[in-house]
Order: sequence, then C-alpha cells, then structure tokens
Amino acid sequence: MTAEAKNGTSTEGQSAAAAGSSKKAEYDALKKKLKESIAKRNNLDDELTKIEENIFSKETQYLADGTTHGNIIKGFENFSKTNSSSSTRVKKIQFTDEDRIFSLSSSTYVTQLRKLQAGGDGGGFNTSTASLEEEDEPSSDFSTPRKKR
Amino acid sequence: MALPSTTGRFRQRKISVKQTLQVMKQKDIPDLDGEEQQRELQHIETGVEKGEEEEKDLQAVMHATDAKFHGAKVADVSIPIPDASKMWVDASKYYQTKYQFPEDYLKFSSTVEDTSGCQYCMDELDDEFLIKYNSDKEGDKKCTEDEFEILMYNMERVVNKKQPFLSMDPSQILGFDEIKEIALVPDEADPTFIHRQLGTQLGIQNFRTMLDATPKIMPRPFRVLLELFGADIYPHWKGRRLTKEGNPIFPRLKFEDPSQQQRDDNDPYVCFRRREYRHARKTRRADMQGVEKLRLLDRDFRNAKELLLMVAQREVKRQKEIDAEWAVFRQRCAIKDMKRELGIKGEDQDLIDHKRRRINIIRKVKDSTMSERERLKIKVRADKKSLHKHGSSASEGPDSLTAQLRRQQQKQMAQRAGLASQESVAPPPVQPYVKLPSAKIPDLEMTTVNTVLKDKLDGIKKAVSDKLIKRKLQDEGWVNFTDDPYNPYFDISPNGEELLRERSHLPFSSIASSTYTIQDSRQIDFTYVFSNSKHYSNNDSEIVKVNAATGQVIRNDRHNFMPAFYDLAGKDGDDSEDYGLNKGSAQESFYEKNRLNVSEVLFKLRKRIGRAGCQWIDRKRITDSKDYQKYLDEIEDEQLVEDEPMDLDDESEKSVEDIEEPVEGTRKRVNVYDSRASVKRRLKSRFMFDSDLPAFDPVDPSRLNQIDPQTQEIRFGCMLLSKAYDGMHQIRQKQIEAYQQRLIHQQKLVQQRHQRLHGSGSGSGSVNGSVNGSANGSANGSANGSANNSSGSKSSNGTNGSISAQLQLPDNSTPRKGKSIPKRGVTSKSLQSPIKEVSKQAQALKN
Repeated sequence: MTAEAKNGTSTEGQSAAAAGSSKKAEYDALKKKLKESIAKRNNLDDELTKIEENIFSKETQYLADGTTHGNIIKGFENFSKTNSSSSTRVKKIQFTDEDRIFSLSSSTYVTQLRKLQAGGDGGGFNTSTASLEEEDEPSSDFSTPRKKR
Repeated sequence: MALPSTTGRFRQRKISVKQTLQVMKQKDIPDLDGEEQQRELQHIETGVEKGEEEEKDLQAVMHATDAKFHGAKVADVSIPIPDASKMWVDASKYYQTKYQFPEDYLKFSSTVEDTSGCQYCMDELDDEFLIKYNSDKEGDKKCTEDEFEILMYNMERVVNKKQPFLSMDPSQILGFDEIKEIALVPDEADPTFIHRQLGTQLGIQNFRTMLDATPKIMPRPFRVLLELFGADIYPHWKGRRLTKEGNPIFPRLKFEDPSQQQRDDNDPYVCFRRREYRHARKTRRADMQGVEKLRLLDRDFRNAKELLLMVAQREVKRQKEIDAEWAVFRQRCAIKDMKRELGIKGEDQDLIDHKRRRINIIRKVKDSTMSERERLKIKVRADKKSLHKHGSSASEGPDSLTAQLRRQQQKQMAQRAGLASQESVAPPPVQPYVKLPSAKIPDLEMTTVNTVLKDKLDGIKKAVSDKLIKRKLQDEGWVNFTDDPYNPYFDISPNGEELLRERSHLPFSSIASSTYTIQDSRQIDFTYVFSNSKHYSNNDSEIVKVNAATGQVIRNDRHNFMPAFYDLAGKDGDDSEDYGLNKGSAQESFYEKNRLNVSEVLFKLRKRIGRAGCQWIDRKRITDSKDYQKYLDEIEDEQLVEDEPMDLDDESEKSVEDIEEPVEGTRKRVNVYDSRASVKRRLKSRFMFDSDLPAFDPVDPSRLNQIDPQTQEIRFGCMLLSKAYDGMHQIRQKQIEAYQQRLIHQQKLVQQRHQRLHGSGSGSGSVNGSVNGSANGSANGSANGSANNSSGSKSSNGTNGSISAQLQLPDNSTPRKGKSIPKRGVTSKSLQSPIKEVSKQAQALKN
C-alpha cells in the first residue's frame, strides 16, 4: 500500500496526458486484478461456509451418537458403566451449545448463525442454536444460554 | 520366644488343615504370671514394624521405660530427631518464594517421547566425533547436532526393529545400504510420521504443533541427510553399537516379557511390572461386549478425529481467506489512490463489500443442501413462473408486487428447506431440549386413571340401560318368557331310540330331530298369574331395589333396571283377604296344570374296561328298574327297624327333616347323616339329577385339534379359501399351459418356414438347434427358463433370454421350478416374453 501511495505521489507531480494513458492501463490492470482477488476471496468464503456447515452437521451427529456411551467432550464415563450393570439404565448425556466446540469455535460461523436467525422466521435454526439468539450482545465465549450466568 | 512372636503380630489366622500346628508342652509356655506377663506384653506392643523393633534408639527408650516401671532410676533417653529450631541462612538464596501457579495443571497428555523431538541424545563420544567430522567442512557441508541425532536415531531404529536379537551375534549387523533402504520407508510408529501425514492432509509443509520443540535451525529432511552424511556417520554408529555388543547404544528400560508366563521377579532391572489381578470370569457374552465396546470406541475416535481434521482444515482455509482479504484490501487501496490521481469517479462497486453477500452465500449453501423434494417444488414453481411470464410478460414486471411476494416466499421456503435439510442431514435428530419455565407450564387438573375408568363404566352402564328401556317400550303389552331361560318349554323324547346307534351327532342332525316328538307341551297357561297376581313394572314406587351382589339398597330410577314381574306369592297386603277361598283352588289348579316335569335321566350309562381291554358300556334304565326300587324299599324297611338316638340340640336339622320326611311322623328327630332313609333318598335324587357320566357334550372340532376355537374358525376359513384358490389355479395353469403350447407351436411353424426359406443353413445350424431345443422342451422347458427368470438368476437371464443362456437349458429337465412358477404368480405375459425374445433373436441371427 505504501508503495502504491508513493507511486501515486510521485506521478502526481507530472501532469501529462501520455503518463495518464499508461496510468489508465495500469488502473485497468489493477481493477482486473482486484476483481480476480475478490472472486478468489468469495470462493474461499463459500468454501469456508461449506466446511463450517459440514462441521456443524457432523458434530451434531457425533454428539447425538455419543448420548449413550459418551464422547471426547463429555468423557466416556458411561462406557465402563454399561457393562457392569444392565439393570440400571445409564443416564443419557444431553448436549448443549457448550459442547459444540468444533463448530462454534469459529466466530464467523456463530455470527452467521445469528444472522440467519435474525433474517429467518422465528422458528430458529435448531433448538440448540436458536437459543443463541437470546443473547443480546455477541460475546466471544459461547456458553450455553440456558445456563444462567 | 515362639509364642510372643506369633501373637505379637496380632494376627489370628484360621486353623487350617494344611498348616502344621505347633505342639507345646507346659514347660514351653512362658510364665505369664504377675510382672513377668506385663513385661512380656510391653515387649510385644511396640507399635512399630517388626524390623524397626531392633532399632537401637527405640530399644534404648523401651528398656529405659521398662526400667522406670520397675522403679529403677535411669537417665532420660529419647529418640534423636533433627534439630528444626534453627534457620538456614542461605535458604532464601536457593528457594525463591515466587511461585507461579500454572494455568492448568494438566497441559497435555502427550508422552515425553512425542514432544521432545528426536529421541537420540548425543553423548561425549558423539560430540567428539562430530566436532572432528565437522572440522574440515564449511557451511552447508557441516552436520548439525540435530541432524546427527536424527541420523543416529534412524539407524538405531532400523536395527532395533529388524535385528532385535543382534546381541546374540553382533557380526550380523546390517550394512549401510540395507539400513538406508529400510530407513526411507516411512514408519508408522515414528512420531514424525503422524506429523507428515497430517501435513499432507492439510496441505501444510513442515507441520508442527505447539508442543513440538522449535529448533533455531530447521534440520534438513532425513532423505537429504542420509545422502549427505549417512555413509560417513554409519561407521561411527556401527563402532558404537559393536562396542555395546549389539545392544542399543543407549540403555533402554527393561520391560517384562509379556510372552513369558512365569514372571521374572528376581530381575531387579525390570520396570513396570504387570499388576497381579484376578481375571474376571470370561464368558462369550463378556467377550462380545468387550469387542463391541472397543469397536464403538474406535468409531467414536475416528469420528472425533475426522471432526478435528475438519476444524483444522477450516482454520487453514481461514488463514487463506484472511490472506485473500488482505490482498483485496491492498489492491483496493492502490486503486483508490489511482482513482484519485486520475480523477475517475464512479466504478465503486468493487471497492466496497456488499453487505448482503454473506447471507446470500448462506442461502446459496442452503439451496445446495436443500432436500430433493423441496427443490423439486421450487423448480415446479419456477416453471410455473416462467410460464406465466410467457403468458403475460407485461404484467410480470421485475418490480411487480406478485413477483416480489413470490420471491419472498421462495426465500422463506429455501430457508425452511435449509432447516429441514439440516435436520435430515444429521440422521439421529437432535432431541429438542425443551425446558419450560414454571410460569409457562399449563395449570391443568390431573385426571387419574380411576376417574377415567369410572367415566367409562358409567357410560357403558347408561348405554345398556337406555337400550333396555328402549326395548321395554317396544315390548309394551307383551310378556317376555325368555327372561328366565332355564325352564324347559318342551319335553323332547326320542321316539325311535333303538334306531339311533350313533348319538354323537344328535344335536346337529335334522334327521334325528325329526324323530323327536314333543311329549308334553310345557306352554304354561299364565292366565291365572295375569289375573290374580299383582304386576310390577320397573318404575313402580313401591319397589325397593336391592343390589343382589352387595345387598345394598339402590336408587329406584330408570337406570337401575329391573324386569317387570308378577307377585306370585300373592302376599300383598291389599288383596290377600280377597283371594281367601278362591285363591286356594285356583292356585292349586294352576300349579297342577303347570307342574314342571323335569326330564329325568333315561339311562344310566357306565363305561368300563373289561377283559382284554374291551370297552364296555353298560346301559341301565333307571325309571323302571325294579331291583333298584326294591333296594330302596328294603332300606326303608331297615330304617324303620334301626331307630337311632336322636340328636337333640340340632334344631335346624330337625326342621330339615320335617320337610324331607313328612311321611314318617313317628320318628321326628333323626340325624340326617345317620338316617339310612335319607341316604337312600339322596341316592335316589342323585340318580335323578346327577350323572356319573359327564354331560353329553358334542366334541368341538377345535377341541379335537387341540387348538383355540378362534384358530379353528380361521383355519377352516383358510382351508375353504385355499381350496377355492387351488381350484382356480388349476384352471389358470391349464390355460397358461395351453397358451404356451400354442405359442411354441406357432414358433415351430415360423422356424420351419424359415428353414424352408434358407435351406439348411450351415452357419446358423447351431442356433437353430438351440432354439429348437428350447422350443422342443415343451411347456416345461420354457417354463423352466422363466423359472430362472423369476428366481432371479442373474447369470443366465442377465441378458434376458440370450441364446447361449437358452442353450444351457436342459430340454426335458424335471420341471420342479417350472411348476412352482404359476404359484408365484408369474403372469402369462412374463412367461411369454423370453420365448418371444428367443424367436426374435433367432430371426435376427438368420437375417
């Protein structure tokens, strides 16, 4: 940027049409380049969003799978419990937004979710994420809103 | 001292048969009397471990106290302890008070080996060698210490793996070329391997974690190092290894050999010994459970790993995105400067971020993940829209309200679809974690099961009584005799009883019933009752209704229904006197006329098993059995003779007797249990009404089959159905066969015509043969072909009736399958299709 700025100031001194035409070409090239890089950035953005969505769904599945035996977030306490006594039912693990360490560790995804909820109908994205809406101000840590802090 | 030492441990053991017990004589037992005993006991209970009892200072103290106890004067003795009263002057120098508590006590769970980089640690000998080696080298040619360690480590690794028992014969040590070859194969156990793998997966060169040591100068890749220094360092390594007699250069921990059953407890250098634990009882179920558990855990970890990898990928992507963003920003700055310089106005759309973009993306992504159904719906909608546009393009301007509305709807739909798809993507739906605040819980009255049941019962009761009332209204003016169904109306007697040998079917036989005649019509003349008795209807206020079951008086309303009745006893106060004289005769005649003649058992039957297992049925006519009558009379005579002492105190029995034996006025009090006459009478009445045989009961087919009557009904119905179905099937099968035959005949004709046309074609002879073969196979053969078809054998009918497949068909193979086709419901259409195809193909081949 500084280089460009310098470039700009240096050329300012000369007020010639010839220089202007070369400048114009340079400007067009720059503009083209900008368009390309914006496209690239948008692509990356899209990919990122996709990955985030995938993470969210996979995480949901993972957490739902682990309701009976546990997962790496809640621990595997139920894992050893079940074989000892078949009569006593093991308590199912309920998971909350606090456990979504994979998907909600991305701040962009969180803002995106919130935007989605703001834009969409009040039904909410998911019961678990719908609660995010209730938070008034965006905060960096996303503890479960159901828990009273 | 044997006894104190055993009791001194204060451990009583159970006497075991396996343990020899010490036999002690009196002289062996120490004298425990008086002071001696106390001393001994004191000696025993030192309170310290046995080995420490011998401690010199403790002994001294104990002896001193002992002596003191006996009154001797002793100097103070104590166990010396280190002096803790003084301060160490230099303590502050070595122990700083500043202690920083760590953020987490648990930083990570990686092992030391995972995080300490290369596991070879060079020593003085290596250092010497390296300095000497590097002395005549410049710049890049020099081998750094890290690189040296990497090389040494890998050589050790390869040999440890490939020659674990090198110490048996050190001369067998691998040469450099062999080591090089093996070392370049990536080893999964190597911690760097995982790094490399992750690096390639994420597209990061030089993958490092935060836990990895970060050397100032990154060592060159191992492959390069091996080329550069491997050959030079190898002799040094080999020398070192050989001086250790083939053992690893650095001593390693000695572990227990898990393959050995016997534990080597004597070797003091073994570390991490196996813990001894009782093995849990092994069952197949437990084993299976274990395997299942492990599998579950494995899956869980795999999923978690995948998730983490995705997160890592996201972060990598994020990095790239930020870079791109930065590039965009820089370019924008440059363009702005340029614009200012050139005086260009407008063309700003690329210079600012469009706000709605992100949401658009979301929507786009949602669209892509939208469920198929929704997408179709929208597509249809779009199609409609375009149609509309075609129809009336003028009205459908881009800004027209309807279009906007529609777009909005679509948007919403898309979003909703996105939501739906989001839920459908995750197969186990998230259980909604609904937790109502107490204020929102609806305040409902709880209904108990009892009330529900009661309501139901009341409803049923009311419905029944309503029905009854309705019926009563219809029957107005009629008397329903069937209210009491137990009185026989007709006395039916078999006429030609001798003709009926087989009696089991009687109840169902119309022929048998035709032989019955009504002996004595029991149609009761109720005129007396109607005219003379008082009639009560249901709702008469005079009636007091009593629940028969509980004895409670119930309300007299229309719901507690009671049939209308006549007061036959005539005990109503009003007209009892009126009847007076009249009553007696009328009543008598009424009862005389309508005496209920209960049908008696006509025969007494007895089944017995006689000689040689013969079954006999004895039949005896009861009514006119003279002998029996005689027997009864005899007893009565006897009765007169034997007068038994009376039981005086039983009043009730007396009354019973009075009723039962009105004839015998002379003997008033006879104990009913002792009376022969009563025995006789009872016997008689028993013959009258009871039967030794079970009541005639036509055997139900369901009982014969020993199944539930309902099942019997169903079976019977099924049988009828299947019979009908079979009949239909046979007809159908015949039709199908006839059709096939006709087809085959036609085919034959066609072929013959073809043969005639083309002469005896040499090339297509085999084809003809095959087709003929299948055709000649009659209906069965072709049916067989389609049997293959229906049974789904892919090989033969994958090409559906290709000629080669048809060739394989046996001409006259037993058509078991063929027979079963029609049953499977293969229609004639599907049967004919392969045949048609065969003929078609045959034609094609010939042409």
